[in-house]
Amino acid sequence: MTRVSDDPLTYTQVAAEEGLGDWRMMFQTLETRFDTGDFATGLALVARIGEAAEELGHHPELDLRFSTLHVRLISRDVFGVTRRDLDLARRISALAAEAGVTADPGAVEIVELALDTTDHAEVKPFWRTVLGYDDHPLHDREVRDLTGIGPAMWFQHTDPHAPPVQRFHLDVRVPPEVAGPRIEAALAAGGTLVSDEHAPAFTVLADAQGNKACITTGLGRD
Amino acid sequence: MSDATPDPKARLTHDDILAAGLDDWRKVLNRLKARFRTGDFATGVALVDRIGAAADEANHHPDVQLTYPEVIVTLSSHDVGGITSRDLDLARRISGFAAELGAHADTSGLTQLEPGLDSPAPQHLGAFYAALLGGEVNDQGEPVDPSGQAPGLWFQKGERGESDLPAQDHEQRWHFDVWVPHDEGERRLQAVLDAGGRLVSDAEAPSFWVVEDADGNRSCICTPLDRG
Repeated sequence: MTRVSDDPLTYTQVAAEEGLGDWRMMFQTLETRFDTGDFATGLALVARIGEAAEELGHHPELDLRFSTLHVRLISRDVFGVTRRDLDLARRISALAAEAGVTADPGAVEIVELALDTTDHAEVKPFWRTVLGYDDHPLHDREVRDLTGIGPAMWFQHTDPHAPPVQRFHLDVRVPPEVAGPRIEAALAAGGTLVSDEHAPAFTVLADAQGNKACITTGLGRD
Repeated sequence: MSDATPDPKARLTHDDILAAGLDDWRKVLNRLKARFRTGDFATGVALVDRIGAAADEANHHPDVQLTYPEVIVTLSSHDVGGITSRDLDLARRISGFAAELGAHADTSGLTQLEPGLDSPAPQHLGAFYAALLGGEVNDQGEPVDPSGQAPGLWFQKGERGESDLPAQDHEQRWHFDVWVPHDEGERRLQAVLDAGGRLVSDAEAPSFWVVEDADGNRSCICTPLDRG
């Protein structure tokens, strides 16, 4: 029997929840960045979050830097966001508010590397090994750094073609409100718009020499 | 070595770092990294707490990643863009805290990925990639993300045809430099060959090996050895 709190939630379900203004649903994680201002403030917040995590029996992934604390929430048993993560997110927001620390969820992003291939099974062991990564628990076409530090890499299917052209591109996943300004900034910096046919799920850009990159969001994907 | 206090602003070479005998730590790209297996979150929080106190005392701060089973610590001296005696001092103290808490160091698998893009005119690209990644352009004209969420990118000037490597049958402008510790390079290379990879060149080993996947896409396995 599965408890309700164990079911992974969709992007739309999380977006409909109250009290999560500090947080953004990325792929299979709920994330935010707190502007702590200095290391001691971040450290104190880590200690409070640690106490709350022990109490709830559910633990976040934290990246503490001099003036920021990045928090990533995921239920690794189902490799997705569950009610346990929402509960912990609300607790963490309350702890941050008590400490006078504000969240900057628009600053969250995830960079992914994409490689076109006709046969991902053939090349996946190479990439998993050279990067020191693991297979994605849910997606056959992806390898990822389970510590969450390195960018994920995924394999985009392509039909055989000759001569093969550029196979790599970058994907940059951002919160929805960041996509428009990010695209404008990239265009202003010499980029070109290749396609916005699938926006807001993804918008294809190219640099001045034709190398492609996508700005992606969680919208329109459930 | 003299008893004089080392210059805290002097950038250390990889040999200097090896001579310091910090067994828990490895130089990966331009930083010093360690992973401590804590086994549970509470031990990790206790370790981070002690690291934080020592960091504030030294006024020198690491990046700390805390997850349920482990703590990963990254040290560098941002003011000089490298590793200094301040990093070695803090590394030594952090190892002491970890030992007290029974958290053992595990250097295997420490990796830093740095994608590189071939470009005949890289000066035109820095601003685009900085905007794309929400970062900024550094004084070498390369995009950097101060938040640490995006990997550092670099531009390799020139066309692929100018390289000494065998020609490829397709156009590849992006390649990945995969930075690993000095004692991980050969292990990673062997693992890659066992996983269906091919060795393209070991002319620059152990500084770097060029490898390719079954489709001919190339990457480099890079270490800090023989780089002066």
